[in-house]
Amino acid sequence: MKRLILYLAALTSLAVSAADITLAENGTAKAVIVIPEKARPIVQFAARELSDHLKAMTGAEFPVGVKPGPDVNIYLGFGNANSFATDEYVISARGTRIDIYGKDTEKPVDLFDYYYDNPDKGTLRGVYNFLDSLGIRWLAPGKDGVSIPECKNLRIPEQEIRFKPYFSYRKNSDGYDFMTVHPDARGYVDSVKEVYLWGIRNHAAVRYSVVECHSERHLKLFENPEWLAHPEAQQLMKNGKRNPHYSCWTDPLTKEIWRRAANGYFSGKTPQECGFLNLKGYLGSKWPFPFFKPDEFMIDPMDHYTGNDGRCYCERCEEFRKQHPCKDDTEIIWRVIADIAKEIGEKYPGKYISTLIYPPKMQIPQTVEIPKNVRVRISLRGPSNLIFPHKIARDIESLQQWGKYFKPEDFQVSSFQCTCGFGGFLPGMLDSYPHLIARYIQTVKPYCAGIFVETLNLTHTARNLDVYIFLRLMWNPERDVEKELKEYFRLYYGPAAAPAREMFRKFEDNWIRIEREILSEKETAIGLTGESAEYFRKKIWSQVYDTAEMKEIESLMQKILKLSPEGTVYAKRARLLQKYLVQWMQDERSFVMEKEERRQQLKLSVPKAAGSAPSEEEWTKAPEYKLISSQKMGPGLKAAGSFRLLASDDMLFIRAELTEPKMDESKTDPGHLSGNHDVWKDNCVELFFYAEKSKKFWQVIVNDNNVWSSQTRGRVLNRWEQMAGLQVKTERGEGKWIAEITIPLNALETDGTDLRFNFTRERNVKGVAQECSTWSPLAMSGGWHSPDNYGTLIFEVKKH
Amino acid sequence: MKRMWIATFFILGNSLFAEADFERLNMEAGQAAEAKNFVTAEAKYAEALASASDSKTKTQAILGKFKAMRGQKRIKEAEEFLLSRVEDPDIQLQDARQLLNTLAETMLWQKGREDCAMGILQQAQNCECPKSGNVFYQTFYIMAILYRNRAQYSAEIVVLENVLQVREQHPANLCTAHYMTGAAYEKLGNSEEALAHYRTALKFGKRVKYKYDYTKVEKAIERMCK
Ligand SMILES: [Zn+2]
Repeated sequence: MKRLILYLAALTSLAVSAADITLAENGTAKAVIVIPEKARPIVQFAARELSDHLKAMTGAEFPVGVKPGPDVNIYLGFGNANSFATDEYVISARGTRIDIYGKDTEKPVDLFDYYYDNPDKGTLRGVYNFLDSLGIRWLAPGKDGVSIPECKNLRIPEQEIRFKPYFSYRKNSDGYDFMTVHPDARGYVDSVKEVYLWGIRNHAAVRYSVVECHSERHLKLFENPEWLAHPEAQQLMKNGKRNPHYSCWTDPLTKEIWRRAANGYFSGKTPQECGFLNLKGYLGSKWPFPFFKPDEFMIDPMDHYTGNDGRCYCERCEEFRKQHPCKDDTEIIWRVIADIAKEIGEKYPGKYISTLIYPPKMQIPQTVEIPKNVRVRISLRGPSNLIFPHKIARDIESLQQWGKYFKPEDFQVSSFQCTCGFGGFLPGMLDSYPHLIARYIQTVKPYCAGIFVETLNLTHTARNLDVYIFLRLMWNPERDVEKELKEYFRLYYGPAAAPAREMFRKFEDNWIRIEREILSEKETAIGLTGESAEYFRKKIWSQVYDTAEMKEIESLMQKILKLSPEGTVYAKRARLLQKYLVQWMQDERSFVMEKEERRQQLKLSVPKAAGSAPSEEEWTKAPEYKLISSQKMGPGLKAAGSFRLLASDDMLFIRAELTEPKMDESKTDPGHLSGNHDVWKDNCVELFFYAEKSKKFWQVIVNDNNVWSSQTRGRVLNRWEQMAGLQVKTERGEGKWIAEITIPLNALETDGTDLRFNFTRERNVKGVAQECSTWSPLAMSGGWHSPDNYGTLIFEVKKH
Repeated sequence: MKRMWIATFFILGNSLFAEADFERLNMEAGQAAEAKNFVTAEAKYAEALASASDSKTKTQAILGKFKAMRGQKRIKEAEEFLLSRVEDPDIQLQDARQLLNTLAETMLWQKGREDCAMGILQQAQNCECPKSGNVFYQTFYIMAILYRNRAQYSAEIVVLENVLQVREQHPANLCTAHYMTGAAYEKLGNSEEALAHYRTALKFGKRVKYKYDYTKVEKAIERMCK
């Protein structure tokens, strides 16, 4: 807190000069806000925003009215902005007059509309930039996310600013579903409107153009009787069936339907007048989403999925492909798009056709000329490709190639920051990388109108920083990311800025490691769940966010909590960070890792035997491993047992001593010979081996009568197979039996570092219930056959 | 939008479409099986298997043929056929697991086949598969029933723990697994643990979106609270 005040004092004193304009003195307003007599709703809203923020800053009431006051007057929405571009604004401050204006919508205040669709917010933009220049920041959604410096004497320098952002398109993925997708949403806001407001204040652009993917599905042809009556216009799938959800793009009807739709749309007709009886309008449009941008109509085929690549295999399409060879259906589909765009361009100047660069049309068309009135959106991975020089080079080349065909303003990038969140792929981890975002913005800057980024994670706390930085730098790419970050942590975490910043620095460094060292291994699987997800989670939790790293994160978290004074907004923010990031990471991690970490603690050291057969002395010195009951919550063992291990260069020796007060009552079938498949029903012990790298599994069963059988596993199934070179010697004695087992190490296919092992016993004697015991406490009865429950053999280092 | 990302970067050029032949044969085989014409069904499934190109379709055909053979009371032959197919390298581990689960399930109520079923499931559990799916659950569910039938309740609990750990499992499966765990604890005389699991079972039962009957859970809680 102290640092904050010092900083502000410095800022204020710097600003004092002869040409300064005084807005407040000793907590009293020295200015009024003046709006036109019939001010548009958005100007009234801008005045309220200005007055509220100034009050919070100075403690003074700044009246809003139509009449100027005796001191300074802040005029909102008076200038002539007819020629202004979207987002362009003026701040002019001279003497006692301050003017802020830009192009303003006539529509009423509706935060959904302002956030998503209404681009004309010039005066409001100006107001937010004015407040920004006073040090006010909207660091997170909601009231607690606002940072307003206290300043009872507020002066500003005279200034003349006319600003237009470099990028016309700057869009994050926050939206209507904020409250339902984030468990911590209510930690920030009470209603989604506050999220819209956060976006507006940080200058998120509206849904610009090429809003959606796959507009074909929104035409709902599959319900359209005309379409259904013409199966030949529908996709012929590889299996010989027609699919009414997809089209044959060489069929004249397909083209005719899209032509009619586009013409109808721009001529102001309803879908019904064009033969689409089943379509309903979206927002103010007569047509369904995504057909609601006045100057744009989207033609884009359905998405594909496993089982349907979306392409038509009718004779005509196949013939077309022969004549116009192309890797995908670019030539086929662009032919339709280009023809319709040309017609629209001639009939309705200024109107556009939009589409995606997306399968099955990823290529640049060679046989079709792309008309000028086409807009596209190209889908790229985004900032994380900067980690791999070859990937970012490929993306840039793609931008350059496609960029030749479009004006930058008609060409936008869609990118993704959702590796962890998508499909719950890596729960508890975060792909946070503000530095990469900054570099990425600079990288794509020469080529396009802007970026949409899908920032997705399971909590908002895990993504707030990245969204904020993205919006700050997209509004003004000249901003320095280091300065922005420093400021963010200083303002958001206050006295705990340093440990918070360190924590997020860790997250970014760790993410780069995860991408580089782990995810790059199996690119095809990312985002898909199942085996791979499990594999990656374990790997990341054990190699990057290992116990040591988690301890450091926890210790930083404790520092943050300790430095955040109770009762302040910093403490609130710190608690969100703890609950929805650090705690959440810890929970998710322990969920995946707890058992594996316990397993990794289970180690059996195997001393080296000098000769090819261990001496008695060596056996006595070798550590003894005791068996425990393998019945969960069962009674203690009636008959104890233990074993010892030794190894030579190529043999593993096991000697087990098994207490047996009723040796004569053994249930072992004397007729069993080695290799018998029922040995496990005898009075016996079982040895389990699993080599992690080769995945070789062996189970060796030895009864008390010198008989043994073994099985090993193929990819899936076990098969009985006597392990070559294995030797067994058992001896029944007074009150116990002893088993000596010698195992050739090469049969186990281990490299000596990856051998998992467990030893179990099935005591089968007459008159006593079966008693099972195990060495590994994880391998209780019911869990013997899973290597997840075995310990690891640690071979004494070979002496060379 | 979300689908797009995956598709663009990772499944580009994907050519996994069902073969025309497979789809037709599989459908005809299914119709024959439904009409209890198992001889025709078996032949059609065999043909479908020959035209299947990926793990999913192969597994479908193998399961179909297995059932058609069982429909003709050729049980042993059917089992041998299924086991001869699981090592096919085209069959993904999760599909192999599904095949083994199905096989074990058919043995569940055959007298004298319990050991065999257990052996099959012990192999199935080592075939990796998504933990959130039903295939994962089925292995342990059938194992648990086998242990329960043998009155080995503590082993039943150990086996069900595999399911209870997976929070992504379907709530209906978690409800059943907690209910069975509770019942096993009750058998072992640990009423405290039993009640705790019944309560958790109820919590998951209520989360099931479709109509789901958890009255037995409520009854168990009532019984424990008397
Ligand atoms: Zn076609």
